[in-house]
Order: sequence, then structure tokens, then C-alpha cells
Amino acid sequence: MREYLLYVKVGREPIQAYVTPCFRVDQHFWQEKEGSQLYVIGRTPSLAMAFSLRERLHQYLQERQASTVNEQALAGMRQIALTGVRESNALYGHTFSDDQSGPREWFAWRERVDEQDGGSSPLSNRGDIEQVKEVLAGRALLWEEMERLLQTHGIAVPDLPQLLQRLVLSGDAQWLPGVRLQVRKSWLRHSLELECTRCGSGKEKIELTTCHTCGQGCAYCTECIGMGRSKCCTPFLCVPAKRAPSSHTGHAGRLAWSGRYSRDQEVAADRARQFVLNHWGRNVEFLIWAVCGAGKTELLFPSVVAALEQGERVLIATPRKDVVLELAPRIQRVFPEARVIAVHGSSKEKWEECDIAIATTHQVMRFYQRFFLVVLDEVDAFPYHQNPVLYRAVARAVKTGGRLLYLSATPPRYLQKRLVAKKKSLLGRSSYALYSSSHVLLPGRYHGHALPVPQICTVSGLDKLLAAGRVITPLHDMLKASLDAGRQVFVFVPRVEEVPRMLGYLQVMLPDYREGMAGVHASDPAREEKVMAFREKAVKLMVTTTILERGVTIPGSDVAVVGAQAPVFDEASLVQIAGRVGRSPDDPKGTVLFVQSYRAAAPQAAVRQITQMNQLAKQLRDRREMA
Amino acid sequence: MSQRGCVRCGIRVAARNQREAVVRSWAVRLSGRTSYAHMYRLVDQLPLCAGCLEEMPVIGERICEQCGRSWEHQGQQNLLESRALRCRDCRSIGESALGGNRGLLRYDDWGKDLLGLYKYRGDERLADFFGKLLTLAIYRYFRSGQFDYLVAVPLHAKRLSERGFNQMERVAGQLSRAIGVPVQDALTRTKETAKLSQQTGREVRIHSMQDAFAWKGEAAHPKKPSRILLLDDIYTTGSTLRACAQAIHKDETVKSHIWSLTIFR
Repeated sequence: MREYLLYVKVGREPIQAYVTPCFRVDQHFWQEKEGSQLYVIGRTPSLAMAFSLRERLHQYLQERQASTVNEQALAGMRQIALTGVRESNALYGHTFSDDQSGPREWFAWRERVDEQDGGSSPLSNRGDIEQVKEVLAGRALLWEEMERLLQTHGIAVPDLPQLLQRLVLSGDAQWLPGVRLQVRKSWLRHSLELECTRCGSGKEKIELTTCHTCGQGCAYCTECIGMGRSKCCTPFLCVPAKRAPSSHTGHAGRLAWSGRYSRDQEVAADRARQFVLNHWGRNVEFLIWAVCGAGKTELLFPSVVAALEQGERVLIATPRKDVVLELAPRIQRVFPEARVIAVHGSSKEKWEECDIAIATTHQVMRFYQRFFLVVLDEVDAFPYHQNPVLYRAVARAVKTGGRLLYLSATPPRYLQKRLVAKKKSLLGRSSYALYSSSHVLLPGRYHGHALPVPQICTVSGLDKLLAAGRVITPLHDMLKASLDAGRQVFVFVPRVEEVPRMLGYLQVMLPDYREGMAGVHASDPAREEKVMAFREKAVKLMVTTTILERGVTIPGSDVAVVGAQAPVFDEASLVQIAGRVGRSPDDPKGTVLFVQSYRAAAPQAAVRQITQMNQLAKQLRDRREMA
Repeated sequence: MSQRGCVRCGIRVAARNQREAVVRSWAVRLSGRTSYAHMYRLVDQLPLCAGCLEEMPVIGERICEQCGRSWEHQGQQNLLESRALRCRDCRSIGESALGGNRGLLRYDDWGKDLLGLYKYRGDERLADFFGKLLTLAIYRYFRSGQFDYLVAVPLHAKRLSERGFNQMERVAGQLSRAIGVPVQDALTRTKETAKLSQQTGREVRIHSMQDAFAWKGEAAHPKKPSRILLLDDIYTTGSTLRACAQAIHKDETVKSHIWSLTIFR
């Protein structure tokens, strides 16, 4: 069982409190450095406890602002620590009332310990340190993950804690508890504050438990449990990447892409590149807002080139694994000389060195200040939207002084407010500015045609009509017209249960096309095959939940949303759905129909957004023609 | 159903009447020793949605009376000799300290991930779910008051410190609270054995388990034999449980009656 020692250092700098797993290393280090005095406060096996006490001492020292300590002050600090332990004990027992064994010592605490803790002398050789630093640079890992990573790199260090403590002391790494613990005081009632250091989830996601690893009161995070348990007693190591991988500066940025930009695309891509290159700008965030079918991935290339040419690493984070798998080979083709890796839960190469990493959002949590340019694809999609955990993880993966690039067709309100400037016309109507220092807006598709504007139709008692199998004329006419014209149709429904129901209804309604209908939802075992069949035009009409709202491109297709009033269809999702239509240059037109059972805000807002984009695109075109 | 929704698929809102029908049908099938009403409550408590509850692979009525293996899901040869009371494996083993075993569920895809999530990923919230399953199992197979105390199969100290918790200790605590039988924590693992998945062959397994446990329980001269129920998550070859029983019997003059109950068989 590891024990953590809390001590204060008095020297030329202001007094500081430190936590260490091996005091010898610290003694040695400070002696070497400046010959400061170290005073032990006490020790505990609970890492979280040690850090919470350190926090308290920092507060105390800051208020006191003295540069020396006497016996009295030291006794005071020990008292603070003891009070802290007692308070945590009481609160922990109170919160964790599972055990009926009565009051109990949850956190052990010993003062004034003999300073000879019998550890080996701190003689890690420099080579080891450099090697470990190299491997861990730019990662944020739990202890077990780190051990595994070192193992796969064939590095065996006998005194790993000592070695890492040296890195911590020299400021090359951070050693933190997996779950942070703090007593929050209030006039009514004190409470125990818990926070997962890795994912940032608060109390409601954290479970208290008695742990056999540390033998102390412990807690673990249930939010990120899929990536290993983050516990009070598990060290969480963050090692920033200091320098760029210098091995092959420049070459990696060679772009082998034969495609051509449209005029607007070229301008937008260049603005993004300017943002990446601009060293003096204070902006670290930039939004590329491009409507569905504007060719967003291609817009990135100049920015990625700019970063690679400086010898920096690039991360492209996207919400779904299938996108990672699709994007990685595509990027590799375009950047033949860069090392591109796909990082997702089951990928083999996730620990490899790279120039461009394409990762699912959850894997981003394992990076720490590693990438100069981080691109977030589809910020409005499910895992990021309203999820501070993932935003935090992504922000942590960016190097100091790095750049964060958001990519979206329907940016959420809070991003719009933060990054998109509004401009007012003479008549006082506000509209989006086409660009600013923190965003660029691409309102038109690359083929230059307008986005199809959805028609909304309200059918009261929609559910009843469907259940009774009655004909809903506008829906029926639209589907029939599309199918008769040889087009394919997406029919979106709000819930999984409605997929088979809708399918049955449509099969009765349109008996001629019975054979070419299918339904799909997220947990459908035959999902891939069905989508494949739809792509190959074997299936003409696909009933689906929101899973197909993005990423799927079918030329010559139309869309109907039945039950558009349902809360799962918000503005962003409806705009995305409408964006399925008319993406190919051969067939830029199509029909989009929203059927709602009562008048709802989201479909209207979606139509408004689409018309606004069309207007902006038209303005842009007119202005260019005038010039 | 708990606030969190179904532990298996995460669906929060289940069709209520549909679930009720499933619960009822399970309660009818499982209420042999206990009343229907009691069994209904036990099944209803399980944090599962209608679909997952329906698919639950509960072992049927026809089982090996020794190890509790289901006849219906056996190979052909065993089917032929299904007149027998004990399965072939059990007959080849002969007498052992372990009186017998009962398991509630077949170990298939239904439960594999759940057990993995609990044991290896460490989602301790599932202890509650497995505790409820064992409570159900104990009422299904045994009379109330049939046992004096429960003993959970221990982990080796090193494994315990790695994992941070003993999965069966948690479940045993749950079960003990539900049925009012105390847990005795007197069995220790003295030998470190490789992970089950890394051992190949029944022979190797049986051999590696020999003398792997030690019993530091009650004095060796009790007046009457005590009745002990061993708890484990899964019975594969049964060597773990037999080794435990062996260790308990070792120093006793009056031999205890030992049975075991596992979640999966």
C-alpha cells in the first residue's frame, strides 16, 4: 500500500506544501536545488486526502504570507491538517451510510513519522527519465494505463514512483488523485465535494466505496468507468508535451489532393489557415460554420498543412467511431507523408506516435497538451452537445498556445454567442456576419445551388391517424411522387418503437413499393447491411430514427420527418436532416417535408435558419457578380 | 425499477404493462418453495426492462442434482443419459466436501458483459443487482433457515488490492441483508492462481486449486455441524468451490454441511 507524505518547504520562495509518495526523492531534490528546509506535516494512505489537505494548507499559507516558520506555526499547520481529516471522516461516514458498523476511521492520518521510510535511494538514471518522459509526453493517464503503456514500449523501471516524483518536482508532470475530495463549508451544513479529475464529473456521478487498494474511504467515477476506474487512490498523471516531434519537420505537411475549391470555399479555408498561423492573435477558438454539403472536411486541409509544416501534431476529434474509420484512410491519402492514426476504443494503434490523430471524443480524454491544432467535427452532435465533460477533455488536449477549431453545420447557441458576430442591417434586422476573427460562415453548398427549404404541414391527431391506418394526404402524395420519380426517401421518426409501426403503416399505404422498404435503428443488428442496401438502391424507402441524420449521403433522395414536433428533433437536428437532400451536383433539388401534429418551434426555426443561409449565399453571389 | 433504468440496456422508460406480464410469468415459473406473491416481489425488484427480463436465461427445472447444471442446454451424450440424477462430470469427481451447487442463470451472452462490467471494470453499483439475483435464487432453491451463515469466495490479497473490491463480498452483504443470515469472513486465499481465462483444461484447473484456501473459522469442535452456504459468481468446473469446502472441512471434527450458490452455472 502506498502512503503519501505531506510536507511544507521553506526556502527562498514563498512557503509551499507538497505531496509525495517517496519523501527521500524530495529531500534529495531540494537539497540539490537550493538547500531548503522541509517540515513533515503527516502522512496518509489516501491520495485524495493528502491533496485536499494540501489545498487547505495553501489557503492558510496564502493568508499568512510569512516566509519563515517556527514551532508554533508548524503546530498550527498540523492542527489544520488534523481538523481536515476529522471533518472528512465525519462527512464521509455521514454520506456513506451503507455500513451499520457505527463511527469509524475512514481516513488514517499519522503525524510526525520517522523520516526514514526505507525506500531505495533516488538514483534513477537520466536515461530512464528521458525515456519515460518521451513516452508519456502529451498524455493524461491513470496509473494502470501508464504502466501498461510503458510495458508496451518495453520500458521496465524498478522505481517508477520515485522517477515520476522527480518529473513532478522538476515541473515536467503533474501527479493528481483520480477523484478529488474536498470539504465544502457552509453555514447550514458542511458537505463533501467530489470531482473526477479525468472527466470533471461532479458528485452525482461519483460513488463512494470502501476500497481494498488503499484501505481508506474511497470514491470512483461512474461517468468514465468505461476507460478504467478513476478512484480517490489512483494517481492520475498529466505530462504535457513540451516540444514538437522534430524528426521530420515539414515533409509531413505535403498535400496530395487534386480536388478544387469553389471560390467561397477557398476564402473560408484560407481564413481558417490564417487563424492557425496567427501567433499574435488572442483567439484560441475558431468556428467554421458551413452548411450541410459545403465540403467541410476539405476546408480543413490548408489549416492542417499549416500546423504540420511547423512540425506540430494535429488532432481531429469526431463523435462516432464509424466516422473515425472512414476519415482516417481518407486523410492518409491526402497527406501521404504524415503518420495518421485512428484512435478509438478498440484500435490497436492508439498509443502510437503520430502527426495526425483521428480520435473519437472519449479517447481525447487520454491526451494532455499534446496537439497544437485540435479540430472538433460536428460540435452539435450528441456527445459534445451540452456535455461539459467532453469540452473540457478537448480543451485539455490542446497545447499551451495551441488552436481549437470547431466544425459544424448547425453550431449550438452557446458557440454562436461566443464566436459568431451578428451584424445589423440599416433596417435593424440582424443577421450573421460572414466572417470575423473567430469564425467563418459558408452559407452555400459547393455546387452553388440553394439548400432545399422544408415544407411544414400540421396534421392534428397525427398519432391517432397513423394508428388507425388512415391516409395522411400530404405525406402520401409526397412519398408517392418521390418513389414514382425513382428517387429514394428517408422517413424519420422520433422513437425506436415507432420504426416498425411506421414501416407497417407505409407498407399498407404504398403497396406498390412494399418490397423496397426497410427500417433501421441504433441497436439493430443488421444496421450496417440495411444502410448498405439503401446506398446500393436495393432499398427505396428507409424508416429511421435520428441515427441517419448525419454522415449519410445518398444522391437523389428526399426526406420526410413524421412527428417533427417531438423534442428529439431540435433545430440543429432538423437542419441536418434537411441537409441530406440535394447534395450531389447532378441533382441539387429535392423535397423535404416536416409533418407535425401541432405547431412546434423547432421545425419553424429550422426553416428560418435554412432560408437565412440561402439569403446569405445569394448575397454573396450577387456581390461577387457585381465585383 | 431503479432510477437508473435497465442495468443491461439502459432503457429508462419501459412499457409498464408489458413488464408486468413478464414479471408475472417468471413469478409463476419460479415460485416453487416460496409463495407466488413473494417471488413476484423478488422478480419485480430486478432493475431490468421488460425485454431483458424476458430474455433472462434462467436455468430450468431439470438439472443435475449435484452441480445444478441444466439438462436442456447440454451436449447430445448428456441428453441421452438424462435419466441420471447427476451429470457426467459430477459422477467422475465422486464424493467431495461440497454437498452440492445451485446456479440461477446460464452463463451466456446475456450475462457475460454484465459480469465483466462488474468484476473487471469495477462498476460496483451492479452489486445491488447481483445481490437481488442471488436472493431470488436462494428462495428458489432452498428453504428459509436452511443455513447458519454465508461465506463468500475470497480473492487473493494481491488481486484484491489490484481490483479494489471483492465482487462476491459485496453481493454476499446484499444477500445477507435481504435474508437475515450473517456473513462469515473467515476464508482466505493462500495461493495465487492465474486468471480463469488463462488456464486451459479441466485438469490444470483442478490441480491449481488444490490447497488454495485456508479456513480460520470457528473452533474445530462445535456441538453440531454448522450449515454453510458458499457464494461465488460462476461455477465452471467447480474446483474453486470444492477447494473452499475442502479447506473448511480440513480441521473440523464435526463436519459442516456445505452447499454453494452461484449466479451463473
